[in-house]
Amino acid sequence: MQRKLIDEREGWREYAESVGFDYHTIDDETYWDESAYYQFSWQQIEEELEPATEELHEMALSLVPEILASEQLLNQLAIPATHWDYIAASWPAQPQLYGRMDLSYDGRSPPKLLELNYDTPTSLFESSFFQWVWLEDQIENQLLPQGADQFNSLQEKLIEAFKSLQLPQPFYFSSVEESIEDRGNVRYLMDCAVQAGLRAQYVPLETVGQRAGQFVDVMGTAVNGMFKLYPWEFMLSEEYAPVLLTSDTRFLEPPWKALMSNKGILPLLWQKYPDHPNLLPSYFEDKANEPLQNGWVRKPLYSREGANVELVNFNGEKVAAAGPYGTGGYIRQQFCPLPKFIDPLRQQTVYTLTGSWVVGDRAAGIGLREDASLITRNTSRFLPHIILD
Amino acid sequence: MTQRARKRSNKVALVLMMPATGMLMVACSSEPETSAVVYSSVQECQDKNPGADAKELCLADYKQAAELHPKVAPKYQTLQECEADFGAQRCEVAPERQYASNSSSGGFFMPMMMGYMASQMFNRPQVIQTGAFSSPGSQPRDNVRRDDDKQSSSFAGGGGGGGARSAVQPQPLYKSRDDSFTYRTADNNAVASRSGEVKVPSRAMTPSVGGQRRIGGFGATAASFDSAGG
Repeated sequence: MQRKLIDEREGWREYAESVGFDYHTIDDETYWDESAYYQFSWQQIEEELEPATEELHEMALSLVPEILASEQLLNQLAIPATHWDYIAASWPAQPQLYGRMDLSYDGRSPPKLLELNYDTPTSLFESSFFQWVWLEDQIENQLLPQGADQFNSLQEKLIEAFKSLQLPQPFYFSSVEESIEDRGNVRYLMDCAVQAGLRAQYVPLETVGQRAGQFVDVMGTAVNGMFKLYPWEFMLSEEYAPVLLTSDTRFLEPPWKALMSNKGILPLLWQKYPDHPNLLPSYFEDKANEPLQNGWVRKPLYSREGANVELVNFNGEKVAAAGPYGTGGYIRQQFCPLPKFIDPLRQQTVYTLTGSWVVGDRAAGIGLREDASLITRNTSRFLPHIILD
Repeated sequence: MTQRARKRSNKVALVLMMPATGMLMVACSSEPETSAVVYSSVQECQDKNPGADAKELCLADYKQAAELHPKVAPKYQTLQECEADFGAQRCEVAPERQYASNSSSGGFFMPMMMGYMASQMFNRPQVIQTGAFSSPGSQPRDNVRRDDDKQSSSFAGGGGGGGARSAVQPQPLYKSRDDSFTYRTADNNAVASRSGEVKVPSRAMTPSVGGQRRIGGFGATAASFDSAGG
């Protein structure tokens, strides 16, 4: 795993905007960064990242029926009791579309699972489409050799998944209207759905209404199926939470994903598979816990984009990310530093997170995020990668 | 040397979020336009496309467009505002919306549908074939990249070639007061100045549903976040 500099493509920003990738720069900070790329060997992809991803996915899914069968575990994960049956009814009848797991991988030791983003994963468009085009362009520009490949079959697998999921039509796609990043991700998924032959329609989540216990669009048409880029834990606590219980809407991701995007899945995985090479020791925090020790990380059960994560490195230095989460329980996970690289252009050290995608039940590719901080956040830069021996 | 299976998609394409031009394809690819047909009425469609099949397809397209009409048409609080944009006698009452809550008094107004746009009659798959770029010969696609593949690999644009890729969703068209010849989509993209076959920019293909107000049973928690994703 190496970080290499490369010339940026001329005019890539205009191109990005022409395909709806408006968030390539966020608040004047680079988000899509093609001043460099990461290079993996075939061995690193095919013998490490790909099998580890599929095994972790399988392990995580194996927990779902166990959690659903245990009041104690459901309580521990802070799942509202009102919706236990609702969530249980979706398993295993409603398969997932996709998910992303975040790994700490340095190219040498086995990848370690930091967390699952299995409910509302983003950075999909840049992973699936934009970095693919980047590779094709750079091969064309002769800056990369013909033999360079990329671990990225996302679009193919997404289209296959949409074909096989047997979704009601028209199938709605929704996100929170104000977030252009979320909207970009949803539009891309919608694009894949259309290519799979589905009739797809976008609806801002805020405009979804309800009538007689069913979700309806602004015209009062029943919403029989809807992808929502919106966390289940929010939906289970908002005004319409009771409507879920009477509605027939088929959601993507399915309701059981509420269990998966909960950080509580990490200690449960460690309990079931102790000392697994791709897992980090992890525990639920309780009142008896001592202050955070050197080499440990504290994460809220519900948090995204690194928010409210706090860590103490091996030297006792504390790093914390502020954020809006902060109610509910916490877990503790052993600190596993992200691999460090030098960015010669910015003259700084960067830490790199490997986001590994699962579509259906298959590993489908990776996206790399880079930050000067050890905690990867929503502003962390996205860099493309290649496979080359 | 044995060839490895590619780890990346053989091709990626966008059909809704389509680029205006490809970065490297500027010289060799045309504007990404899609063929469509504009009709002023279902009758016109049936007249121009004789045959029993066509008769039904015309009706089906029209129905889809008409169904979409109240959903996508721009909505106005008053008739005057609507007529100011679309002309006298060219607006109608939007159907009563069935909100669960929040329903305020007074309806909305929207322009009348002045025509509709549909895919080309006789080559109109609903499904955009992902393999649409491979040539009729059956070379394995895996590790071999052919030149024709190369050019269009990343983009689903271009009107040339097979012709069987028109992906226009049937949709209503409107005419504005200040330009009463031009047919426009609900998103105000001008598509034609008369009925018949047209090339439309890809962005005109999917009408967006305009919501006038928040219904708001979901979404409240998001207020403190930049993104609900992660």
